[in-house]
Amino acid sequence: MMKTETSKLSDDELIKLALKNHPRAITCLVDRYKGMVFTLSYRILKNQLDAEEAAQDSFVKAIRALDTFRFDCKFSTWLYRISFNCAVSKSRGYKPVQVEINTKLDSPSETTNAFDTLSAIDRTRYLNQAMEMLDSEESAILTLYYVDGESVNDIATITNLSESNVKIKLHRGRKKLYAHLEVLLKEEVTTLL
Amino acid sequence: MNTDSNNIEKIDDEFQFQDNWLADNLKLTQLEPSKDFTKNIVEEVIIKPNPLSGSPLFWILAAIPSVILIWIILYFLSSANLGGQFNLKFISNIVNDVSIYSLTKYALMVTFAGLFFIGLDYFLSKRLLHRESFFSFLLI
Repeated sequence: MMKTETSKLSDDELIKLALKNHPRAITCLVDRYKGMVFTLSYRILKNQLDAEEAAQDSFVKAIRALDTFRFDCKFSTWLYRISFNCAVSKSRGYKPVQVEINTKLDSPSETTNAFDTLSAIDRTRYLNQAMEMLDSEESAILTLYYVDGESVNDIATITNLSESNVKIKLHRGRKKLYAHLEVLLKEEVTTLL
Repeated sequence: MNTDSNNIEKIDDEFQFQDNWLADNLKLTQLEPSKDFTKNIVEEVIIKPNPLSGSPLFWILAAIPSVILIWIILYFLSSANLGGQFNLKFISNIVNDVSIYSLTKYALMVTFAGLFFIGLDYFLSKRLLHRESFFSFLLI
């Protein structure tokens, strides 16, 4: 089977081929999810080397346990759950960076307007900085919800939290993110002046 | 925390989290691992078949010592039974019929045949798609 044909297959079809030790199917599955798994690990570990190691471990574990995947949920949810657990167990012993910040900001429009005038590179830089200032779990939940479009229910399965807890963390994380962005933009303006 | 919980209770709907601006901009922050990431994983998880299994070399390496070992066992059994205490005459017949000379002759024949097939397998694997082994190709 050609590489392009393999990449067109659905997750379920790729899994069935991967179970038969088909290297291209495994490559395709890894390529499809490596970005998100790596980002998720990075959001929890906040370190590139550790995140890459955790992401690699997650894929190895997932592929070796593929025969236990029962096709009753999305493959991404199952994989992200493994990845989340891998990163969290690797992060044990880490000292989380606690940043005290005023989260009174309810309307993010001022921040977003100022932010939209920046170039894509600067926006990415500020967003990454703001995401790194968040608590690991909040940062991971925001990534799953806004970057990958996972539902609250799926995020609850991935993180082993209740749905209401996920909602609270989403709400708080979003507020904190806007507040961090506002602070970062103000600092930048002060530096420029 | 309490304020947050109250806010969540007010609108128990995922709709409240809809934020296209955040979704669009956070997508910019998606990271990519290093270049060899996929390759490293595939190398680690792929079950590599035993390079000898399915190859004539495996059968040569496995069969020749086994035949020689069986012959040696029979030879010693036959020598131990020279007085004819046990009814093991058939062993002596086998040992006499299959001499070391004929055993060596057959072993060499099998070895050369095996080497011929290894060469054929190597030659054809260069021409077959995805460098599949000639023998695995035949089996499929």
